[in-house]
Amino acid sequence: MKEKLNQYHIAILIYMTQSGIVIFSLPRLVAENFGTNGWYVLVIISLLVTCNIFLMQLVYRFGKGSSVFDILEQRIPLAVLSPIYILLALFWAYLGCLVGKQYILILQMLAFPTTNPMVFKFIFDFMALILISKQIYNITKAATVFFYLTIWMVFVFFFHFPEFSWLRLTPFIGYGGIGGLESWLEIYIAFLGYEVCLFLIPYVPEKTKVFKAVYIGNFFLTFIYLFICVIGFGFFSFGQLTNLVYPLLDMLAYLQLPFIERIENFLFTLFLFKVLMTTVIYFWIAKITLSRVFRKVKSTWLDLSVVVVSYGLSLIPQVISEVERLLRMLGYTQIVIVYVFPLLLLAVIALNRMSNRRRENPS
Amino acid sequence: MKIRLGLQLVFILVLITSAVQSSDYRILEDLGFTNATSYDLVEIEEEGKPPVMRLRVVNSVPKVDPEEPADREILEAVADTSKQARIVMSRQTNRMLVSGQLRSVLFGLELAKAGVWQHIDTLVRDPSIGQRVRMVIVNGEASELLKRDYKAYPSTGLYIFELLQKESNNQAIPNVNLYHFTRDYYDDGIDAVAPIIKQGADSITLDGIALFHADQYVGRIELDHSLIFAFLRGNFTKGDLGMALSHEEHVLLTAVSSKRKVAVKGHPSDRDSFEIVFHIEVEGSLLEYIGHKTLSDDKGQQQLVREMEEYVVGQADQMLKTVQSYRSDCFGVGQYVRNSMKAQQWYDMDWDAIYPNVKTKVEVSIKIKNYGKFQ
Amino acid sequence: MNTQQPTPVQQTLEQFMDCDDLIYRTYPVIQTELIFFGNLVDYQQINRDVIDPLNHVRMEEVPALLQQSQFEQETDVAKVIEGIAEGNAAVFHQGLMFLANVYGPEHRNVEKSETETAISGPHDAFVEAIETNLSLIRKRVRSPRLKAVRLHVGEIMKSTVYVLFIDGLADPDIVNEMVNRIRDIEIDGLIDANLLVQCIDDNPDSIFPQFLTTERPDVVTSKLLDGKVCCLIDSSPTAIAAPTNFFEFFSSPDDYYQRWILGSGVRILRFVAFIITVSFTALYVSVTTFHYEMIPYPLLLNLAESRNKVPFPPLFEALLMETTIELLREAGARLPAKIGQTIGIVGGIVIGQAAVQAGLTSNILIIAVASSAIASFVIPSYIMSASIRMIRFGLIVLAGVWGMLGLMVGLGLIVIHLTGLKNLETSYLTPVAPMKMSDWKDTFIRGPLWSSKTRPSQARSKNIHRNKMRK
Repeated sequence: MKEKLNQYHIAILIYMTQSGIVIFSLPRLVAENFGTNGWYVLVIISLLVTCNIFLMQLVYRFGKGSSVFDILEQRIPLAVLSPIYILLALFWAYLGCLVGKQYILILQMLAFPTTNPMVFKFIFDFMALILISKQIYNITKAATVFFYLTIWMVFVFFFHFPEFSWLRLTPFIGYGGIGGLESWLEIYIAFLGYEVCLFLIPYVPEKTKVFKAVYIGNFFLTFIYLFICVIGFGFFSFGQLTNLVYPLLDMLAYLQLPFIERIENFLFTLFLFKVLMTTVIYFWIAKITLSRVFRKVKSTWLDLSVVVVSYGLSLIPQVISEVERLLRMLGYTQIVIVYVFPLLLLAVIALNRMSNRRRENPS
Repeated sequence: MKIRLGLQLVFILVLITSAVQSSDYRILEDLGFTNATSYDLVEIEEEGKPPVMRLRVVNSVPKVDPEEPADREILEAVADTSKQARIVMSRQTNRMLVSGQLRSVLFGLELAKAGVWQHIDTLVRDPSIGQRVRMVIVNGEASELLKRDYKAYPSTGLYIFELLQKESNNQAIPNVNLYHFTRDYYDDGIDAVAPIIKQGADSITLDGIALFHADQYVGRIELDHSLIFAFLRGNFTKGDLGMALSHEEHVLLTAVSSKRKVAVKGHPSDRDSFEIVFHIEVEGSLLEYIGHKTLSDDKGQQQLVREMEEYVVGQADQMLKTVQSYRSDCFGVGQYVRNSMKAQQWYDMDWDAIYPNVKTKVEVSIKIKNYGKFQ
Repeated sequence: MNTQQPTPVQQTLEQFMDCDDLIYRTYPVIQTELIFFGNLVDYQQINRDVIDPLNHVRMEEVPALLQQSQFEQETDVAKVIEGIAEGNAAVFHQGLMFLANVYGPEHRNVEKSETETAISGPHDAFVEAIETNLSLIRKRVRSPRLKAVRLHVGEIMKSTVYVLFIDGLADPDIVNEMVNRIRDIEIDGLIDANLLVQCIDDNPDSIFPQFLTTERPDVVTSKLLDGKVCCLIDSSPTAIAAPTNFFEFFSSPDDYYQRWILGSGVRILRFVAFIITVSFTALYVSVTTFHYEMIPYPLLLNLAESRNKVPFPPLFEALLMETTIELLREAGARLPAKIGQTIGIVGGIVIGQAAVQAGLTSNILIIAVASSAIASFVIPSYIMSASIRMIRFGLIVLAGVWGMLGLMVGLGLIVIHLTGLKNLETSYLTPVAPMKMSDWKDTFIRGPLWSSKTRPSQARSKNIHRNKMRK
């Protein structure tokens, strides 16, 4: 019984892929880049993302549910595509692994100051390898379970209400921020991850409202981001917020229960699952891209190569600032890819249609 | 299949290597967890050199071996920065010094006057130190207070923490921890405060509330007026208010809960019409009354309430003037003013200069929930 | 002239050479011979059906007697030999061979189950005789739609296996899958249902059991009504139900016999117990080794003082105590009942106390380990709780080396493993993944009876709706 993905799972998968380590610095990023009450940009960016998802929905509809690789290969010879595929796969694998590396480095700063981070990266990649060697269906199931394990953290924020004050949000919009294109791009990176829906198309049963689930996943993410940013802006004063590198960490650290305190260590390690999901999905995209080039190779070797190569690449940046800089650059590139790719696909689909029609009416 | 097995073996190998090699072990009983730290500015005289201000840091570290005579270790160092002092202190103990369990941090008065932000910055930067570390100013030398053992009370570090916790529940002092201080320091519409303690004969006593402008100590509020301070600073639900209405009349309200609203009237550019109005609603149980009025009839009650309200208004007005003279916007008036105008106006205006001369008005309404079980 | 082919009787007796318990009776007057295993037959039945008639019949009436329905004619000697080994009585008359089914060996009476007890509700449990077990189920499900497909497993043992399902409720694909898997088993013999399960598992290497095993007929009946498929195996008091998911191992029949709110409370308690038993000791180890700042102040000094006397790091201390508890548990299982109780008290109290005083462990660890042990008994399925015990060790080691991260890594690995498990091609983590909200009212809580309108989705039953109840 071949299993297919269903709506709930897709929404959760999209949410888990989009949600990664950025959420820890998001209130500060928004404050630094857009000033007081800067969280309004999240709504705007979410709308942009929705438009992008719409483009992808068009690919699904006009492509009649065929996989994006099939569409491309109809038109463009494999010899031309292969190096592009390999490059893209490398790029995506690197992106995924850097996300993991950033998480590891922050974790190291918090709890294991003197241990070599590559040890943790190894464990992380080990888990990622086990996950991608299973089918996408199982990956989605794991994402669902991880979702349930981590979503209750939202309730932690009820503890911040006593110290929350609307006054601190100030009535001003946009003061003290840098603004500019790079600011917008930087916040947009926080929403990346939804592009996996393009690659999921062949795995969903026909006639499902797949993209409805993608919209829901994105919407949910926006809601969570807004929630945390608004609380961050009301809990911390503006100047304080711009100086806290990971405001979410400080918010979590404020929680105090009678039988345990300072659970931010515990909650931060719980984020392992969210980051793992993001990395695994990017690895998976890289793997299926590679599998179009190396069709004869067994999938276990592909998995292994993706993970090993990315582990090697992750040795390059050593410190948090380097990783963040690289991640930004890769993120900007991914934003470009994410808009260009569906447009390219639509163009190819249109060309395919025209050539089909010409074939049918030779005149 | 074989690959999976191989990977699992590698995993176990990494596990074992990690176990053996890890330098990050922080095993509980090998740690010396600092309970309380004090910072003082001291003048050090060295031969041939002019006196220079350095930092004296004292750490109170509870002991875990019940068989040892003292219940805590006192580590002391004089250095230029707190982390340097920490290195010196760690050489004085046989356990690994950690600050994750830090509960309270004490600043001497002289240091507070010079500015505490550098040290708070160090504390906030350290990921192992929590946000809820209480902050307190010591009237005198903080290290003297911390080094002393108070016989009738538990270990000094714990004593200070429990004292602060209990008293802030009663609104005798405000609840101030590192998070509060950092937040108010960076907010341009409010200034931070902190409690003050001092050494008593055999115990530690509260000594009032410290007012800050930016990170420097600028003045204090006496302990008797702490509840008025609490009225003006925000909402709360527990406290005791004692009022001496006149020579022979004394009233005590308990289980006091208070809500505060601040209204901004007019505009700072127009001096005459610009006014800040505090509107305070108080509720309490009247459990002690010494005086002539009869409490069993409406007229007496109403008169009593009126007189209490006048008393509170008078005290609050006085306090506002005092606080303004210190230039400390400890009640967050600036936040409300900020909310009432456009951004450009706020950032162009120099609130610090305007604040000391702002007109304020206090309106109080007191409701007596009950008079106890005796007429 | 002894090239004559041996008679059937001679062939049979030759096959059964050295089976001195074989009974061979001759009735020379009517030229009939009787062969059977005395210890396999039900004496009342064989007397009534075979021996008495043969005693009283005359020569010319024998063929008529042998036409009666309890005698089945056989032409193949091999089949007759098999039949005798299976407990039939073989009758030989003038070259003809007949088998009479008089199987009825010794078996235990139906008693209470030792391992699965319920406070209220039926107490009868399966025994080692398959027909008795089947009768316990048939008397509950008195419908012709209860089908029992008979299979034989084991080359030498030739155990009878019945695959039970309710026609119209169970999914035919699942039934076929079950039947095919059992048919495909190549093994000398299956001694118990638990071995059968290991032969037909989707993931035999996993530490988690995938088929639900139970000794109680009421559980089997409720699974059948859910549209699931159950198996009975001869000489095993355990029955199997499939398809199962992970959460079913946490439900006990008691949940259903009580009020639903109580049942829900107890079920939630079981999941909490699961979390405690898996992670509590590991949490202790990770906090005392890496994350001292998580301990609230009042507890801190106590903990530090009690750990102060212990010469080993927390990881070793925890492993030592956990191993001791496992030893106690295993020893308790082997001891005869009379000594068992005393040793239990000795082990538990004295050793624990003495260990603390000798400075080998801290008392807080003893509490952690003891509560983990107690919590592990809350899980109704013994096999599942045994699996969880093993996981606990893994988590403790991971927590001792990598602190909180190790704990999360362990948890993550468990989750990843669980999501890959299947039972009869259905996902092991239904209804969480794949998600079926309507099933949740019987997973984490026990919903009221009036709300259980549909059968669980994992069974893929074609008939989803249960019969209506008033409401």
